[in-house]
Amino acid sequence: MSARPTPEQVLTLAPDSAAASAALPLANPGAWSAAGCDDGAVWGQYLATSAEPYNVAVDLSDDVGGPAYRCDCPSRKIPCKHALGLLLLYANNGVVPARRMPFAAEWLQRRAVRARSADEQAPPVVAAAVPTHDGGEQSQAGAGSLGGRARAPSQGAGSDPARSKRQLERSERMRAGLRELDRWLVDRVRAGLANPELGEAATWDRLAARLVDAQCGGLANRVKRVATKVGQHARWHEDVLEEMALLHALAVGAQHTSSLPADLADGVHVATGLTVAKDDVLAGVASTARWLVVGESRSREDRITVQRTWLAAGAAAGGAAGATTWAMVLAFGAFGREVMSEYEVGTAFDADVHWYPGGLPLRAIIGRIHGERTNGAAGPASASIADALSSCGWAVASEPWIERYPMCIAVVPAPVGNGRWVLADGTGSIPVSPAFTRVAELVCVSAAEPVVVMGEWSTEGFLPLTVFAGGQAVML
Amino acid sequence: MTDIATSAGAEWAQLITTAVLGTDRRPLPRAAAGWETVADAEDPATELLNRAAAVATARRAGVQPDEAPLLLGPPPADDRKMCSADAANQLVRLLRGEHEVLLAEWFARCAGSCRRPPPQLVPTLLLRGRRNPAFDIVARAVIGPLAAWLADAMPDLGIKPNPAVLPAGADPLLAPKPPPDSGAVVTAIADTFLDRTATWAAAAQMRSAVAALEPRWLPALILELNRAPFNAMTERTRVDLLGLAQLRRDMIASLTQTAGADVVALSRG
Repeated sequence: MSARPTPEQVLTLAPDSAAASAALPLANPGAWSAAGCDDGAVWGQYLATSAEPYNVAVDLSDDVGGPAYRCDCPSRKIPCKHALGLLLLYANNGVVPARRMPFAAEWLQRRAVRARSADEQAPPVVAAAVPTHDGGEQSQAGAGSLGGRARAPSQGAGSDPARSKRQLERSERMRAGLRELDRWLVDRVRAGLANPELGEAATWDRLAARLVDAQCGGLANRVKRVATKVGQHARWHEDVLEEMALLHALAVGAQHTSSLPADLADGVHVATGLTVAKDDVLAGVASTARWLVVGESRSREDRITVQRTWLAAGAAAGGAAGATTWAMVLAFGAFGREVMSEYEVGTAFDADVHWYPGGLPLRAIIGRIHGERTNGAAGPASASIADALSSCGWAVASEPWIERYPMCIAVVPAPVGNGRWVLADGTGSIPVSPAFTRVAELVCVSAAEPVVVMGEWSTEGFLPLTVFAGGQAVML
Repeated sequence: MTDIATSAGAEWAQLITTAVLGTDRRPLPRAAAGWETVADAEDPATELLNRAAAVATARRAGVQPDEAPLLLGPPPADDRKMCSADAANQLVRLLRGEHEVLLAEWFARCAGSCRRPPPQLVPTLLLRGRRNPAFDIVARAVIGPLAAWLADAMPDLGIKPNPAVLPAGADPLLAPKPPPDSGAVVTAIADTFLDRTATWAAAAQMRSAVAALEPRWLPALILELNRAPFNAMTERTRVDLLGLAQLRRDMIASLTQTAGADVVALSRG
């Protein structure tokens, strides 16, 4: 059988982000009875609110190109949230090996028989492409990626009418969501930001929920983050107007992508939440270089932990950082579980990096790694504060909605009163983000000497992630 | 401030005032020269958002460094070398609550080898010492002059510039003294696993015995614990003692390295 999937891999099987977030609470051992697994399948009974539990099973034997699912629930989504929840539970080691329950054994046997007869008649690839429906059972060879894509769809998608219909429906839904978002923004500006309605969480939550329904997950998360800025300090109107204006730009831009330059259109697509299939990214041209893992940060979005790993290439320690190339690798973990770091901070390796489409190459996937991983704790090249801010400026100009940009600077931490700290060098200083809690550690490592600090610059300030000193990379 | 920054600020102020009151109540003033949009929107609210997007982007993209403030003075020189990366990792584990019984010995050996802990652990050590004078005294002995410097540089941490004074009658934090016959202790521990009396209740006593054992007997103890027969009642105790013995063995090795071995350990990293 195939190896046990990770929660992240399971979430990529979801037909849409709504199914993924609906599946998260179901991956709870308390919601299942008689959940079990063996080499080829996972099954269990989901204790639904209705009288009868749903019998759920997933066939993991990958002889037909992906898992197949069955569930008694009325949902038309394949896989439904119950199957996903069960897989998540399995991925988190929450399912114990057991004997197949009768319904699971029967279904799996029927599948095996069908696969064998299909084998005799036609190559298995064809069998996998045609979804079969019989009785209350759903079964389909799972497509490995999410439906929508921002760029040339993979081969074969065009020949599947059901799939292109789904894509069309999805983009229609997204357009409706974007129109609604823009109407909402314009209404708020008409009524004024001082309107007490804006201070109510429900106002924002309703909008975010509508955007999730419209499959604009990226924008929904953004709207939720803007909502937290309301009333945060005396000048919050400025922060919120900035964010609303950028949301407006995205909403309008996403409705007119055909008239935008290709790179900008791709960037807008990704920012609005259209997912790009991993295979499409990997099919792009790779950039092979020596990459140094320079930092790692985590944040929570909608019950999913997002981990960003920052990689830098281009210049060795001590050199000028003008040529530094950045790549950001995302990893996701469900229900606040720790995401395992695949790339250890302070290591270096030669690898092919494939960037996601867009005008600003930042988010990427690591393709092939060549050779050994070595110690790179000597540190990356650093820039002056003025130069780093100017690189950020170019990045903002090409994609104004970016929320954070990496910087690697050689600086000294210095107090400015009221417990606030800045990082300073010969060209000036930048404020440290109030979210940074490890100032004392940074101050001790620096000991009033310049140290190379890697971090994320955002409107809040600079969030240090790693400090390189004395031949060691210290994560903050 | 440059001209463009001034005009962006003025334009932004106009937009903010109108946005707070709402375009229904306050007409949107015309854009200043250089900030006009390409095409006028019919609706003033849309027009405001269009212009705000442009000005917000310009302001974000044009952030300049602030003036550098006065820098801190450097801490007094400390010519001791930093302890090895392995020793630092072991200290992190101890501070996290893993086999805390070894903390006193870590400090004693670190002081004995004339090393200092890595600077990123100094705040954690000092904060922990705020309520624990015995800990504060030994921790500051290895931290050195950085402690007083940090207390001065970051007064809001609430760290005192000088080590605490041990209240009368309180026990100082000292590494435990080895028993007179460590070999007998190893045999005794091995026996409790053979006769299955090494339950969790008996573990506390055995843990302090392992922490006090003469170091040269640690390999023998680890061997005995690895050979002990499996028993569901004693397994938890066995794993715990084994972890403690192995951590202590590694800790002693990493804190008594010669200078040459230290360099190798660091570059291995």
